[in-house]
Amino acid sequence: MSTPETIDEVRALTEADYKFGFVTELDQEIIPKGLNEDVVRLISAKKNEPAWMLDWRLESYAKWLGMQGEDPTWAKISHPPIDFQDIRYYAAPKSEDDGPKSLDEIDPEILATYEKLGIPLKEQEVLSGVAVDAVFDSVSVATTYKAKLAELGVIFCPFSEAVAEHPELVRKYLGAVVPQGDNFYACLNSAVFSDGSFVFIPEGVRCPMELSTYFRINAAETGQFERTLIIAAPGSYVSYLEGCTAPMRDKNQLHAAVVELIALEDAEIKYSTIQNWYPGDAEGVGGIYNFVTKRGACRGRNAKISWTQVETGAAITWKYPSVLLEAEGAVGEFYSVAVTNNYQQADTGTKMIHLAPNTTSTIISKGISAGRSQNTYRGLVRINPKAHNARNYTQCDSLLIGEECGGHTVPYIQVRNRSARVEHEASASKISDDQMFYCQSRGLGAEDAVSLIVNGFCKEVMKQLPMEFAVEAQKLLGISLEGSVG
Amino acid sequence: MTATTTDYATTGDAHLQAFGRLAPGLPGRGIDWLDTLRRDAFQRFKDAGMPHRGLEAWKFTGLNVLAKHAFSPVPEAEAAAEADARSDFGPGEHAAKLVFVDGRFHVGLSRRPTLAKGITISTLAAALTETPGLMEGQFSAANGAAGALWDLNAAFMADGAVVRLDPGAKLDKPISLVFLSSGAKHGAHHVRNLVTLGAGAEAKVIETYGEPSGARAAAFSNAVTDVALGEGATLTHVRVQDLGPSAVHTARAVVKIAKGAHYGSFALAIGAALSRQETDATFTGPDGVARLFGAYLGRRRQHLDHTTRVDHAHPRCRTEELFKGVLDGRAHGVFQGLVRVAPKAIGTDARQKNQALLLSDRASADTKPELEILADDVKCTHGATVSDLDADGLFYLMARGLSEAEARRLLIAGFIGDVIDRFDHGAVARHLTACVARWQDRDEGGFDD
Repeated sequence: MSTPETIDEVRALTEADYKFGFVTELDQEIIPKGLNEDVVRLISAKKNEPAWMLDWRLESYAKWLGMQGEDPTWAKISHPPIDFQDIRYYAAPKSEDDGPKSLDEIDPEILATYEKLGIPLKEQEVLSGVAVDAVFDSVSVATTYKAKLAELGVIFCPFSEAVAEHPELVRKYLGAVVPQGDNFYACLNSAVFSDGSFVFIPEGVRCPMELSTYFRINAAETGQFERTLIIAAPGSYVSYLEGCTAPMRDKNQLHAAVVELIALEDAEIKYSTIQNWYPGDAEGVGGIYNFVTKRGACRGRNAKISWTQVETGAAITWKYPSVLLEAEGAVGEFYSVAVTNNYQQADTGTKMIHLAPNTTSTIISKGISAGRSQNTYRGLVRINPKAHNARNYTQCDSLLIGEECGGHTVPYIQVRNRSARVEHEASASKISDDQMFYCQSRGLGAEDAVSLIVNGFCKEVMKQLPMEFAVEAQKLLGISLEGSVG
Repeated sequence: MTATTTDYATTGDAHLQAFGRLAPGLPGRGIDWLDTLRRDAFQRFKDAGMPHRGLEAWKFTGLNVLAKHAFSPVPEAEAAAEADARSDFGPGEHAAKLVFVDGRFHVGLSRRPTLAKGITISTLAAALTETPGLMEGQFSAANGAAGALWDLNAAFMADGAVVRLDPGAKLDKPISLVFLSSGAKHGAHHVRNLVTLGAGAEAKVIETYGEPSGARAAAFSNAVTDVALGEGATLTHVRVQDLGPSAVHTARAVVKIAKGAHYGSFALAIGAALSRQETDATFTGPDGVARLFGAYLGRRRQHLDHTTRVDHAHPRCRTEELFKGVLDGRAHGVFQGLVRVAPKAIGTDARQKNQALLLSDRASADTKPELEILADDVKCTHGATVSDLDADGLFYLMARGLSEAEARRLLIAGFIGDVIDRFDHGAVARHLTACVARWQDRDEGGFDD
C-alpha cells in the first residue's frame, strides 16, 4: 500500500492544505480568558464562519447562560467548581507565511510528541490505509489521503472546513442528535466549539480505510471543545478511530467535546476511541476533566452504530456514548474498558434507547480500578412502548486492584414493552491470588502478571478494536496500571 | 368526623397542620428524648417536604397521589370507632397475634398467650408507658430528604408492635402482626414496630398490611420496623402488603445485623394502588448474613416498588437477594437495590437478582441494581432480566391440554414459587404461596383495565 506515489501524494496534500506552519517555538495565537458573547463572536470570526454558524453559536451561548447552575452533579465524581471565566476558549497554532516544504520542516517538538504518542507523522505517511487528521489544539494541521477518499465521494475534513465547503450538510445534521441545549457541557461546546472532524460517507460506499483523528491538548489552560459529526448515508460503512493524549500540565484542563453520529438505512458506523488524556500525577494533582457528550442515532432501518472505547486517561471522565435506535432493526453496541489508577475518577457508561421494533443492543463494560481511584459504570437501557421484540444484553464487570479503590455499577433498566428481552449481568471482584500465583510461578513479574490478567479480563472489548489500535491499547493498559501492585 | 380531610390541599400540609394538635396525645409525651426525636423529625420533614422524583432514590416512584388527596393522621377516637374490621389477615398458625387498626392496637382482635420466659410481646404505646428506659436508642432516624416519610413516621408514630427476645430465647411459631386500615376517609397512620433479638435468639415475625373489603376510601399507611439482631441471632421477617385497590402504602425495615447474625426477609406486594417497601440493612459486625427476598404482583394501574439497601460495613458478610415481579394491566414495577461495600469490608459476598415478567402491553418495569464497592477482596454480582412469559413454556403446557389461562397461572405460580422456595420450606412458605394464589384468584374476575 505504501507506494512512493502515495507518499508523494500525501506530501503534496499536506503541503497544499497546510495553512498553519510551525517554527521551532510553539507560538500560540490565543485570546484572553473568559467567556462572553464577544468571545463567541471572536471565535466565529477567527474561523471565518458564515452568519448562520455564528447565529447557531450565539443561540447556544444564550441557552448555556440560561443553564447556569445546571451542570450535572449526579455522577459519582467530585471536583472543585469550574470557573468558566478562567478558561481560554480559543488557541490556534500561530500561522506563518510560508508553510513547510515537507514534513522535515515541521517542528521537531511536535514530531517528538507524536512519536511519544506512537503516531509519528512520518510513519503515518507510510502506514497504509490510515488517513490522519491531526487536531493540534484547536486547528487541524494535517490531513492525508484526502484525494483517495474524495474519489469515492467521502468527505473527511476538519469541521471548520466542512462549515465553509459543505454548509448544506452541516446545517442539516449539526445538533440533530445532540441538540444545543442537551446538557450543560454540550451546550457550552455548541457555543465555543473549536474544531473537530466532519465525515460524510455517500450512499453505498464502504470507506476503504480506517479514518483516524488524534486530538491533543497542548497549550496550558486551554479548554478544548471538539465537535465531531459523522454521517453515514444509506448502505455505507465507516470505521472511525479517535485517540488522544495530553502532555503534562499542572492545572486541570476542561475538555468538553460533542460527537454526533448519524447512520441512515443499512449504514454502519464503528467509532473507536482510545482516551489517554493526562490523568494527573500520582498525588492526584492536575489532569484533564473529560466531560464528553457522544451520541449516535440509527435513523434508518437496520442501521448500526458501535462504540468501542478504551479509557485510561483523564483525571475525571464523564462520558456516556449512547445510541438512539430509532428505526426498525437498528443495532447499537457499546464496548468499553475504563481503567483508573491513583486518584482518577471515571463515571462512564452508555444509553441504549430502543424506540423501534426488532432493535437490539449489546453492552459490554469492563471497569478496572486501582490505587485510590473511583470507577463507575452508569448505563441506561430503555425499551419504549413501540419497540416490539427489542433485545438487550448487558454485561458489566469490575476488577478491583488494591483496597483503597472503588468500583461501582449503576444500571438503569426501563422496560415499557412486554415483548422485549432485557438481560443485565454484573460482577465485581479482585484479581485472585490463584491467578497471580499461577502467572508468577511461571516467571512473570507481578506487574506483567497483572497486565496479562487485565488484558484477559478486557479481551472481549479489545477484540472489537481495529488492529491499529489494539496493540497500542494493550500497552496502554499495562502502562496505566504501573505502580498499582507490589 | 371527617371534617379534617378536605381542609388541606395535600397530605404534607395535613400533617404539618396536625402535628401541633396531635402531638400532645401521642404516646410517650413528656419523655424528653422522645419529644426531641419527634420534634427533630418533624422539623426535618417540614424542611424537606414529601419525597419527589427529583431525588435519585425516588426517581421511579412519584407520590402525586399524596398531593392529590390530603391524608390526615387519624385521631385515636376515630380509630376506635372504626374498629369493626375483619381479622383473618395473617398466617393461620402463630404464637401470638397483634392487630392494629388505623395504627392503634386493638385488644379485641389480638391474641396474646403467655409465652416462654425471655420473650416479650407488647405495643409501642404500652412499652413507652411501662418501660420507657428500655426504649431509648431503639428508634432509627432518617438521614436526608429521601427519608422524609421515615421522619414523618417518627413524628407521628402512635403505636406498633414491640417484640423482644432475650439472649438465647427461641420461638418456633411466627408472631403475626396485622395492620388494618379501617376505612376512615383518607386516614393516614404511622406505625412503628421494634423487633429486638438478643444474642443467639431466634424468631419469626410476619407483618400483614390489609384492608377489610368494605373499606370506604383510600388510606395511607406509612410503617417503619426497626430490627436489631444481637450476635448470632436469627430472624425471619415477612412483610405482606395486601391492601385494597386504592391504598397508598410506604414501609421501611431498618435492620442492624450484629456479628454472625442472620436476617431473612421476604417482602410481598400484592395490593394497594401505590406501594413502596424499603429494606435498609446494615451489618454492624462481621460474618453476618442478609437474605432479602421479595415478590410483587400487580395489575390495573398498581405501582409496586421494592427498594433495598445493604451496607456491608464489616468483613465477611454475605448478602443474597432475589426479587421477582409479575406485572399485568398497566401495572408498574420498580426494583432498586443498592449493595454498598465499605473500605476494609473484605471477604464480602453479595449476590443480587431481579426478574420481572410483563404480561400486558401496557405494563412496565424499572430496575436499578446498584453496586458501590470500596474494597477489593469481594465477590459481588447482580443480574436483572425483564421479559414476557416464556412462549415455549406456554406452548408446552397447552400442548398437554391446559387452557391458556391455566398454563399462564401455572407458569406465574412457578416463577414466583421459585423465590418462595429459596426462602423457606415450612409454614411461612405455605402462607406466602397462599397469598400469591389469592392474587391469582382475583385475576379470574378478569378486570384488567
